[in-house]
Amino acid sequence: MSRLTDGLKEAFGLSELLRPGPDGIPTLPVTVDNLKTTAKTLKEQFGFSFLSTVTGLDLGDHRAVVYTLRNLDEHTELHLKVAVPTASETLPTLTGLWRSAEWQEREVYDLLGIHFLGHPDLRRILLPQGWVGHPLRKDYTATAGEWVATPEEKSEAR
Amino acid sequence: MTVTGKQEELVVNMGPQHPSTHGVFRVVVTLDGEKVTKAVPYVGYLHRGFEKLGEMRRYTQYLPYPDRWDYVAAMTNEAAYVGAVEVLLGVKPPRRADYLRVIAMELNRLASHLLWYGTFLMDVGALSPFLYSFRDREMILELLNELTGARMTYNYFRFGGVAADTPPNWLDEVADFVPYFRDRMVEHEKIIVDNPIFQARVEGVGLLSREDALNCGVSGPMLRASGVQWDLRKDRPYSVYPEFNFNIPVRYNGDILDRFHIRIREMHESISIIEQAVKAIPGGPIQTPVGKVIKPPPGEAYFAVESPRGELGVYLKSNGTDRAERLHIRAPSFVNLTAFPAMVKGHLVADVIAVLGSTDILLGEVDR
Repeated sequence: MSRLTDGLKEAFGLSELLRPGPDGIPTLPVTVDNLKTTAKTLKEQFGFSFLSTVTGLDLGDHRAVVYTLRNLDEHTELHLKVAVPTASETLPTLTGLWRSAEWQEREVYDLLGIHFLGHPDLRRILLPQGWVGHPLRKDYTATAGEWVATPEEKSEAR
Repeated sequence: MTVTGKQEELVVNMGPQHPSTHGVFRVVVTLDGEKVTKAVPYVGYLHRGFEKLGEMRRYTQYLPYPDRWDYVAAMTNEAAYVGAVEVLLGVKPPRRADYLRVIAMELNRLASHLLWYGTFLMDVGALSPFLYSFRDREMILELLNELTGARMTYNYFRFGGVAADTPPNWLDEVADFVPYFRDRMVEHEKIIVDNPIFQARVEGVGLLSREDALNCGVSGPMLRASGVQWDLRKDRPYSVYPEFNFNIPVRYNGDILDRFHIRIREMHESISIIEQAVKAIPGGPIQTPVGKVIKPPPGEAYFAVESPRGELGVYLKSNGTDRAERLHIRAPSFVNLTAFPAMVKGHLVADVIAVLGSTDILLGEVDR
């Protein structure tokens, strides 16, 4: 694990120590501008060939997304965390690196309203297509009004 | 005789109500004759808002909910949720509780795989094995009912332990179940494995390459049938799994037949773990004292277990209050479905059901 964090510190020039969290996994914070290149480096140079989980978070004043990556050969793991810019609520998609992101980013879009630029099929996945709002946002009250399907929404599949 | 007329592709809708989609799952299939040119899955028909609920309930109030994600393997759901909270609390259960958890989880794995075995074979046309597997599954549900009070949604795990110790003679009953089940496994295998119709339907069908499996984040038996020997119980251990002797089967063709054999072998390994656990279970308390108010210190943790379907994880964020700020469920069935459209492309329409069955998805956890 320390070899991993040392390697990451060297590659990404981090000034602070990448300490593992309570789950023993270090978190690498990146900005939206560095996300794609960092992810590519992690996959191609650090052997993180497996994207396990994509977690979207609403932190109140902004949203964030955590990509939990895994190197199966070395049994190491990393949380790649990116803050979503509030003006655009948009991130670049990572489906080009790991197809595992395809459905998981759709879910983050569906429930949290974050757009993924370049995603091959960005539409809702758990809620019906005509749904208004993003329920996992902190400003979405769970007992929001009833949703009634319009005729267009009823025949969503073609 | 020449055939005249227009040639069109046919779009067929399967589900969400369908006897073989194993839950409310819908797939719109485009066909050129009998060959599938495109398959688009639609999910969400069983979305119940478990993640939003995780932010609305206190940690203890949320305990009965994880059972209902993947309701066929409830114990592993509980292990994932309770495990994540325990990481943030910095609490470990006593050894006896860990042993009981492993016995419960492995019994559940058997029950889940038996349900899969019966329903999958029914999907490909073999109707009898279903009755045999359900009879054996019934015994497991009876055992878990004696231990927890319920057949399916157990609410057995607690933060720092388990809800109840074993009833009198329960461990003996489990020990007696082991040789009985081994004999039944011989029967299950004899009934179907050499059947030429079965082999013709599943061999070489629904291929998933190693590269595609890894790229799609596939886990569990589907990943191991595509040549990757990865199982969280061995490769990312938790609980007391390191204390047991068991193998992780792997196969390399990545077809439905390989997935079938992997799950059969996994049942053999699970019964062996149960046998060892029952012999070695220590005495002692079943609960580490944690107090009534559960307020984990602020922090984030990802905790994952190997459910019968693959990597089941919980990403939990605590802000120091009595309820979670974020509870994300990493459901293996959901992620595994990424690979589904590519697995059926080019196959016959009848294979769609066989391939879907081989993924062993559970809509409760797909949709959450």
